[in-house]
Amino acid sequence: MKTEDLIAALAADDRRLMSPGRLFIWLGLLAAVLVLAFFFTVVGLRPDVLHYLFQPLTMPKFIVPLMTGLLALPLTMALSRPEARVHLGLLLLPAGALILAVMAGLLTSAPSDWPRLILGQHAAFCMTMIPLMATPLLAALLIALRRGAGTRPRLEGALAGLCAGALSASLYAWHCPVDSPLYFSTWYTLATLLVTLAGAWLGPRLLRW
Amino acid sequence: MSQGDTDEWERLMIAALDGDGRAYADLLGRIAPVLRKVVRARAGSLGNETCEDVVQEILLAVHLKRQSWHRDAPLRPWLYAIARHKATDAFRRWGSRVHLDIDDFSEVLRAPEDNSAIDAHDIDRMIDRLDTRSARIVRAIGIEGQTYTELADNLQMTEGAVRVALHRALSRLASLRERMME
Repeated sequence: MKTEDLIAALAADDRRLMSPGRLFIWLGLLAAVLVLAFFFTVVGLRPDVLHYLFQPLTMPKFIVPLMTGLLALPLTMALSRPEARVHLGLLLLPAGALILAVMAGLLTSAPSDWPRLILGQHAAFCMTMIPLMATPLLAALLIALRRGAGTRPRLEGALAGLCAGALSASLYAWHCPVDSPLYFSTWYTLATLLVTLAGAWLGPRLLRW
Repeated sequence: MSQGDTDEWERLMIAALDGDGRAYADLLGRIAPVLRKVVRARAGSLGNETCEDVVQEILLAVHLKRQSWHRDAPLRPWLYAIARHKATDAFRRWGSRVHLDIDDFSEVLRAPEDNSAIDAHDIDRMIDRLDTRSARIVRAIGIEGQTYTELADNLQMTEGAVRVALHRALSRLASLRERMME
């Protein structure tokens, strides 16, 4: 087939597809509705959560994952463009906030209490719910990114995972009954990293073109 | 390449995304010789036919990924990134490490025009792997220049169904290529 013939065939295909960004808006909304419904019916809101939202020691539990997710989202979408130049340095911001939270946790408790505070009592639930609630969002991101033309699928997948995991953790915080920064900075981070790894594994498999 | 021509590419692409097939064919017709020059300059030793395979593979990717271009961005960086990505894959298939640099594009564009397009055969092998009806649709529209209306009559399908079939067939071609590489 001559190139001009291929061009004729390509030009005849005038089906319009949604851009990755627009597709993500719809799929992301769908995922959000699904996850919020699941959260309020199965996981449950902590009754006194508003009080903890504004305590210096517990505030990072809400803010750090939210900040991570909201920063990772535009980076992820930017990577769906082949010519993208993405600066990951922004992610040092939440990483720094996390370190501050850990230090605050260490300084406000006795060293003998640290193991108990780190392990908490709900780690298994937390480690299940965060990845579980991250799944619809990760799926929405990956489906949208398949429309894109990212040239670094592993990084793209990893960032999608980071975004989904972190946003899921920021929602789980509204349930989480454990208040030590040592707890959430351990388990939220591990759970988010798990989703990040899943994304990094899926990226090269789903986002190649 | 003048600045005016650069803007022209964006204008054509926007028209194409809005469904103007003629503007789109015009744009792809302008892109193809540029790609051909760059690919031949880098990988001329692989032969013109192989180079044309690569050009077609890039054009197919440009087509399937056109929604990832942002209308307010210049077209060329996007195009060259697509070309680079696909060419790297393609050359890897022949075991040669050829990389297109972004600089190639500006250097090669100063070289004299070489429009000797030739047949490429990779794409025929891939079209042969499609189901018979899809293969027929791609060839009828591409090579014979049939319209949707004619094809719909011949195949006893609705025009809409032929459109969808063509779209799917083109996407399948790209994924067949991926699979052939593994």
